[in-house]
Amino acid sequence: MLRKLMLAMVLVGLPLAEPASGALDLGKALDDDGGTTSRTVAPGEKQRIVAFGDSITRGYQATPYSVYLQQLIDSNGCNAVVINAGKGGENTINGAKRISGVLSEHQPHYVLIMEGANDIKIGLSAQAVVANLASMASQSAAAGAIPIVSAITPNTQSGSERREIPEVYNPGIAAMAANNGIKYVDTYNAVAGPNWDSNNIDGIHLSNQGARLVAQQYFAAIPCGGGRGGGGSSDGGGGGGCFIATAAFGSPLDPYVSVLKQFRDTYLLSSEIGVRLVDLYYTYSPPLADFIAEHAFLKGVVRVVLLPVIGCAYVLLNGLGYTVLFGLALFALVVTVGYRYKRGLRAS
Amino acid sequence: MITWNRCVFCGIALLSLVMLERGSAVSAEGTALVIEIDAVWTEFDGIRHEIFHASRQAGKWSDPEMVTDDYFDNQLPVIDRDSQGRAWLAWTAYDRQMTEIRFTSGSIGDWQNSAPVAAAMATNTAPSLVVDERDAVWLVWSANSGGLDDIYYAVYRDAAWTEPALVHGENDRADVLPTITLSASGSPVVRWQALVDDGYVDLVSEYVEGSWRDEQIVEVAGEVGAGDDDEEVVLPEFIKNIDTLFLRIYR
Repeated sequence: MLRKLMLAMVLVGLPLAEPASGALDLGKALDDDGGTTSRTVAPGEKQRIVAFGDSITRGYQATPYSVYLQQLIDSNGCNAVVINAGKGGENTINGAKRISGVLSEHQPHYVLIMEGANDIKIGLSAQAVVANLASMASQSAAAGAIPIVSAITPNTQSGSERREIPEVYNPGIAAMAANNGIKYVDTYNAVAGPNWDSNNIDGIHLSNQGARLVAQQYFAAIPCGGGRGGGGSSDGGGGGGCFIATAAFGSPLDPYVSVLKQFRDTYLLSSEIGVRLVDLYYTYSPPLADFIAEHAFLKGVVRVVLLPVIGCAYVLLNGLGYTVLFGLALFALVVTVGYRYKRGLRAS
Repeated sequence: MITWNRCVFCGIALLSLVMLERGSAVSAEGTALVIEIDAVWTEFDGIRHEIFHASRQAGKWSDPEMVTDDYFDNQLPVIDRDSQGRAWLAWTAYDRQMTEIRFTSGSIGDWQNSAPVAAAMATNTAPSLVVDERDAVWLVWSANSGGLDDIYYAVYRDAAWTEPALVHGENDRADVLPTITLSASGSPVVRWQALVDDGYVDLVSEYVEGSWRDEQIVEVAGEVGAGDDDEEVVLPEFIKNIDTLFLRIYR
């Protein structure tokens, strides 16, 4: 009961994605807002977002993340279309060859690149995978699109995890992205950990729940979701950025915001209802977060409202729940005993 | 030549990597052992992945045996046999962000302890090997020390490996996924893929008179992992991890 109450209270204060910063220096110049010059969107034109990858992108026996991303975009009122260009079984060698045709066909504004899972099976080193992903990003930028690269998601198909993914491959991809000013989304940590079993269907392909989490990561990285698409890594641990609290506290790195994000990742995203609530939050809160960010008085009010929520979240996260409850019970007992003692004294 | 072989198992079509070999392995007495196929693959033993082997003789598969039992996460095994029928295995072994090539030799029930192919590079992967007519074991793989991959080779003869050396010249591109076979004249031939101008090309080089010839572009590289269909092989039920299966078919 207490946990459900905490969940409801914390949901109000879920924080916001910090707009990404950094240069995209793959031949593109920065504009004044820190975004990048790329293919322009004509008035009334739908922004085109290509989801490029292997069968994890294509979707296998589950809804692909591109569908959930489209839902988030539509719910947020953005005029953009997500095009699924995933191909089953593809490795980064073939992806680096195929992407030029996809870019010509769709002329996207953004390219969401997620490949590498099949490369590990055939013995391609992390360095080669990184080189191929860099090639895809470079080709995307040359075609006027902003690339966003992803980590490789876990592989437990053979019964145990391929530890090279988080230990070697993903750090290499993240470093390449950082060195080139490319946005990097940590889809690995979004779906890995204790919830991996429910986020996949066969040890490698995402379930609907896993796909939803990946969609949230990408959503936070594109302008519709508050990101700018260029440079830096998407903050936000398991489920992407956080809206309202970041608007109130001013930074996604604020310690209070981090507590709320941890609570979201640990408690909300571990249950189906929690995931649905987070979906709703991401759908409806961005405009509210923008409004709060523009009004200093509101920031202060939201901070005051959130502080007890943050406190409760902190207590739950750090296992202090029982300690606090015991302390409260002890306090209540002392007060009760003291009150009765006083009454007894008065009576006598 | 590497081909993808279409395998039929319980009515389900599967794919496996097959190396076509020049002839049957023979015993020390000179009589044919009639080893038709060697299969090596990896399985998770509860802690990490180990290398397993089985061979088919006269249409019957031997029982699977675990070749490795160590603290590495072992993947991508390859196998060939020498003229005495002795099998040579190589694979990648991962441990704490480093990957090395390890090898062993032996026969069913009698495998040597595995050992590393000493190399200075931090990442060594995708081994391929072939035994030549003088029973020298030629091993190629891709490796790097943080930069782009290159193709290395080493030869096992006189009970020792030669120092790893580059197959090609120094370059600033990624050279990956080598495979080694023997030409009609018996000299080693390496084929690999190289990333050139955002695209991969197939390169080939032959070892002639003590050195590797200048690499030649074969053709614009096709799909990595695709190939021609060949004979059908019915896999035994105990091979479960098709992703890591390597078959050597002897003819």
